[in-house]
Amino acid sequence: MSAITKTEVIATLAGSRPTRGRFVQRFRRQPIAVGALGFLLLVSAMALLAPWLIPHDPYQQDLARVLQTPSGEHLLGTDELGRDVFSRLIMGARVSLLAALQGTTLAIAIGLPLGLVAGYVRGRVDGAIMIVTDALMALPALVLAMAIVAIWGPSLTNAMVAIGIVTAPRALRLVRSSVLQIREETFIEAARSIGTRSIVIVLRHVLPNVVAPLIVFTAILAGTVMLMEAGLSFLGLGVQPPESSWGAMLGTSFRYISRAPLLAIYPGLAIALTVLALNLVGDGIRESIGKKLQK
Amino acid sequence: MLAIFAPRLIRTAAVFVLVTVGIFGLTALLPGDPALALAGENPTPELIASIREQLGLDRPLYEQYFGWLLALFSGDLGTSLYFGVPVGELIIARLPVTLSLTLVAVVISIVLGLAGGMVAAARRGTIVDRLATVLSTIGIATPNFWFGMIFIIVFAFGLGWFPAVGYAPLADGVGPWLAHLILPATALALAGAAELMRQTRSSMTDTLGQDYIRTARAQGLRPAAIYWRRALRNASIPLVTVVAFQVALLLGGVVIVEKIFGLPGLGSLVIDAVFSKDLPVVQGVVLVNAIIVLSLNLLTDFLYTLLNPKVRHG
Repeated sequence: MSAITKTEVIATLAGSRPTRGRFVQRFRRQPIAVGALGFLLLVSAMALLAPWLIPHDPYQQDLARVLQTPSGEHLLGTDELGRDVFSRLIMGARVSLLAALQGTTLAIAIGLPLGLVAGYVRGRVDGAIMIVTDALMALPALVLAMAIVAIWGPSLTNAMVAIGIVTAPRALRLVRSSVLQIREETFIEAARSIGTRSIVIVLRHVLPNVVAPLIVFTAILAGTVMLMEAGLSFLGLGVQPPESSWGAMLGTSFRYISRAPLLAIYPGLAIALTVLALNLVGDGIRESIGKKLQK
Repeated sequence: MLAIFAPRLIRTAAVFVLVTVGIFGLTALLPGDPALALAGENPTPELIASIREQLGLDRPLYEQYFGWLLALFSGDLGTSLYFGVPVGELIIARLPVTLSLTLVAVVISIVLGLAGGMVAAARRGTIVDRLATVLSTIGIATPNFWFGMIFIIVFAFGLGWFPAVGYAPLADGVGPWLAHLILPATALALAGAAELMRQTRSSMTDTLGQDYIRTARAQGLRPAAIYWRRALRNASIPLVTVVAFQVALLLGGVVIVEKIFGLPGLGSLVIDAVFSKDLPVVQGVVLVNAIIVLSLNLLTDFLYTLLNPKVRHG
């Protein structure tokens, strides 16, 4: 019998992680999650290919034909400046999705490393990180983001940095609580007892086990971020004209809500469906990962 | 009891101190000279000088902070740069609107959430349960201000049942007060109701599967009695946390809904303050919000301990 290596021992103790194949199998058995994923892929493709898909120039004004109802030429009608709503909706997908991606990435980039450190190191470091987290969570996220944007000046980048900062504590908490569970497992103890360095344990053994719950959380966080971006852009604190996100379109449509109520329907529906799809995909992933992680 | 709570009180106090540092630090985020940034489009030298003096910008940072904190504890939140009146007065004038809105929203959210969740749990696996789940999923994913816009289109413009905008103080009577609040409060409440419905459903389902419920059933207790008296009581323990969390979320969520429905509350105030760079007002509103959230968290812990003997005696 050959000598058993460290990695082998730990891998054995780590138990059988659900393999990728089984995950896909489980996910495919959920028609709602699959449908939601399909919808998200469709919206993403639409956003990527927007310049080639739009029937009209989304910035082309036509003041002779403002606030028109849907017609053969303008599928969803025209807005207050006579621009084609359908084309603007497709271009808006680009801005909204990119914004959600930026905000979510930043929140995870802040929350993941700090959560890993807080959960694994514990002690005073954990105490300090958590007290700052609690303080941030006591502040109203949207208002805080508004204040930051007001100070830096309204722009989509500033809005997304602000949203990333105010949502980071949620990511941090999730990562920390996952780490707290995992660090008590036998395979971590084994790694520690044979003198593996902390940084190696965290990166090679803790991190992979945090990934699954983090992916579920990320899908749901992306939805939250999207709702917040919509709110800020609605108020005119996000993306600046002539560029437009779905939230910004809602904002302008509100001014014409009595004359052209339909204008308020499309972008709102787009936001709600996309966030819904993100949540459903998140749920689907949660159902598809191992039982242990579902808790 | 006190032994359990002393550490939590100390922690809350520490968090509060950090919150004040953060809120104070908002000024430090201003690019360049804060006084110049706050003075707006056409700053006069006098205005800049007065802002500088009000914020104490000529003193070292820690002195500025302690001066600000000291004033805070004597109830002085500073002076609005835009309105020229004390921030405290502005907030007190607007607070009843926001509290009314939040209160009505919480009631709607609890009624819808509890009822929906209990029905779904009782009829588990049926079409009713499915429908409740679908509705709650949609409720969570939809921006509350879009619900508000749709309500205005349908119930104010279309059916004419409720006014689209404005506010009537409680002093004008409960009818007008409620009529102005029902649409914005419902828009605000739906996401919370959806979340609460999910929690109630899973909490009730868990509880209904417990041994003592089976025993009660075997002893011939009426199902309604089991449902209301035993199950709901135990299921309500985790729900307390959810409800408190909802209130905190609602406070943060009122901002845009207030704007849409033209309600003169804290949300509208903070939006206007953000646009006019009226930082003292922004700081004041954020602070009041944080105080309410922290007090709620403490109250939740307290109630949780009271309701749950395991925690109380552990």
